[in-house]
Amino acid sequence: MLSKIMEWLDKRFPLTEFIEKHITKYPTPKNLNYWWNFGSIAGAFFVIQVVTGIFLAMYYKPDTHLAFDSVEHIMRDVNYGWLIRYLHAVGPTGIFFVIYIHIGRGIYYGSYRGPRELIWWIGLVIFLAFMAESFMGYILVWGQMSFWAGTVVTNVAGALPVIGSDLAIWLRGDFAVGDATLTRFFSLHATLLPIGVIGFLLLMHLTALHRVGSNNPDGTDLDKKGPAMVPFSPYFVTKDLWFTALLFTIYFYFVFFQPDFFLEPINNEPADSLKTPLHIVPEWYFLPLYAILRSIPNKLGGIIASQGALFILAFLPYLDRSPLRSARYRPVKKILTFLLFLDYILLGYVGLHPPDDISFVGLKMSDFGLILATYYFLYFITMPFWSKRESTRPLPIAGRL
Amino acid sequence: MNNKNGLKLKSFIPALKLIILITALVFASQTLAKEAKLPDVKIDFDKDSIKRGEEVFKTDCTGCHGIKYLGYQPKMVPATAKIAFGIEPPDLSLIAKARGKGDEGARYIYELLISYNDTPEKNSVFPNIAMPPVFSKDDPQFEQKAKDVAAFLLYAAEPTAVERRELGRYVLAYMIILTVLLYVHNKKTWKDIKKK
Repeated sequence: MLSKIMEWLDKRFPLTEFIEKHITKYPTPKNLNYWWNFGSIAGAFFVIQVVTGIFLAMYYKPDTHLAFDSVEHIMRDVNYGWLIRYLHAVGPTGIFFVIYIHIGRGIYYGSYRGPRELIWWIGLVIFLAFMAESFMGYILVWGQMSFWAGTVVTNVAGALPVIGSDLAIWLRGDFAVGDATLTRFFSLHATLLPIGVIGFLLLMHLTALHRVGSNNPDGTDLDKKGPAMVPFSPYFVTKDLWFTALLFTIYFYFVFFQPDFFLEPINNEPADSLKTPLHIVPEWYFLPLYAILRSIPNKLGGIIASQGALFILAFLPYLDRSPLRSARYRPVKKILTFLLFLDYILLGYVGLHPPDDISFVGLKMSDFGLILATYYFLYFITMPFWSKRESTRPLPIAGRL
Repeated sequence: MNNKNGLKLKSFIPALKLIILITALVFASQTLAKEAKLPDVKIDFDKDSIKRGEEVFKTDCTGCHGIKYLGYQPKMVPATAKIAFGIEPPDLSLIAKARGKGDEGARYIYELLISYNDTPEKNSVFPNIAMPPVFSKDDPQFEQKAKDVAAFLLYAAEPTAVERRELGRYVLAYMIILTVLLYVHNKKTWKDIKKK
């Protein structure tokens, strides 16, 4: 019976073909390590955000007089509303944790290099879209930090020359963050960004990936029909499943036992435009970029640096001149890349503290941040020179670019 | 790699190390980020304390403060209170969650309530606070009352927290078993490939 239905369908729609091509028979390098699991986990987190978001939108009220109360209504009166809300509020922490590892893996193993440039660029846009998505979602709670984070970020846009003030008004829909801002952020957060941008780009990300095939820890080009491959199902289905279950266990620990761990307490006070919080701190995943923004003494310079830190990643496919992809066979890239990861984590530490505090290395936070930001940019700017000259270790199989 | 599980375990170790490292970093940064260190006072958050705390709240706090999500309205009109104290007394629905994570907020409230003194600053935890002392220091029960009302306010900030932790135990137990089963299943799937 079922096979007859499938037969009928397949004559009219390539369903079996699609499933085989993208899931069951997709040839996957069998030497992939666990760093390759994080992409699918990011997808799983995205699904959680969409599903919980649908339910939250049924009860949430995008109105400055009602928003905060409606969130508390969800927390207190809606059946399992607290669960849906905490899943949705802790979810971004999972998404960014996983995406940062996913990007780090791409940098370390050279996944950005040809023929995977397009996958890399689509991925970067997805990363940016998630930043916009989480920022707008944070505003919707309409607590103190929602309001002031919204004010600070739209002020940053306002500091741009010529178009700045018009851009800020356009973003807010008003001269200050208010009801117009809340309603437009709600609309974008719930419709265009998740479905039209992120969902669409995720499909493009996978389609492009399945055209060229996955990279692997050796960074070599593998024959899609060769002995180095196994079909995605069952091998990577079971591998992804158990590893996703592991990370979701950690995620659920935070949801059920420490839901406020990553949230700012002050956001439990309703937004008040007359009362500025003592410290305005972004969510943890923005801290490194925030540190770069603050480390440049000039406001416009800071904006250019923090945006440039993201933008420069797009040039990676062309900055790398090595005949090999993976840092595994490139001792110089290996050391410099590990330092880059450490550098980024330390930037997060700097972003967390007021600029005049003294850091653990004895320097003022702002000075330490400037040094760290300099290393970050130098890694990319100097890459063409060292990547061309570095001596490489022999590959296990032929695969030089 | 002669060991049939060798590759898998070996390749899993760096991922685990990173998770541990980052979790440790997050914990460390959160600890570093804490502004004021509160003394470690033991506050009971059991049902009886919450109940007693609610009584304390009704007698000593509702004059000025409400808890709107539990239906408590302040007796004094906020505008009148503003004239009397120079500031509108805040609604206390979420105050315990707005002043710290976990039970930090409750400990803050306790410290604040017992830190009134005779200096011009009035209060060592919150200098120049508008609120007059709530309890008389002659009241032998005043420390206990402060603890109980702090416990009640933490409850009021999230009445569903008990349900959350209760359900959480089952969810975590389920997830751990599921993870182990899926891990074993995956190991079986890869057995033949790894042998080659």
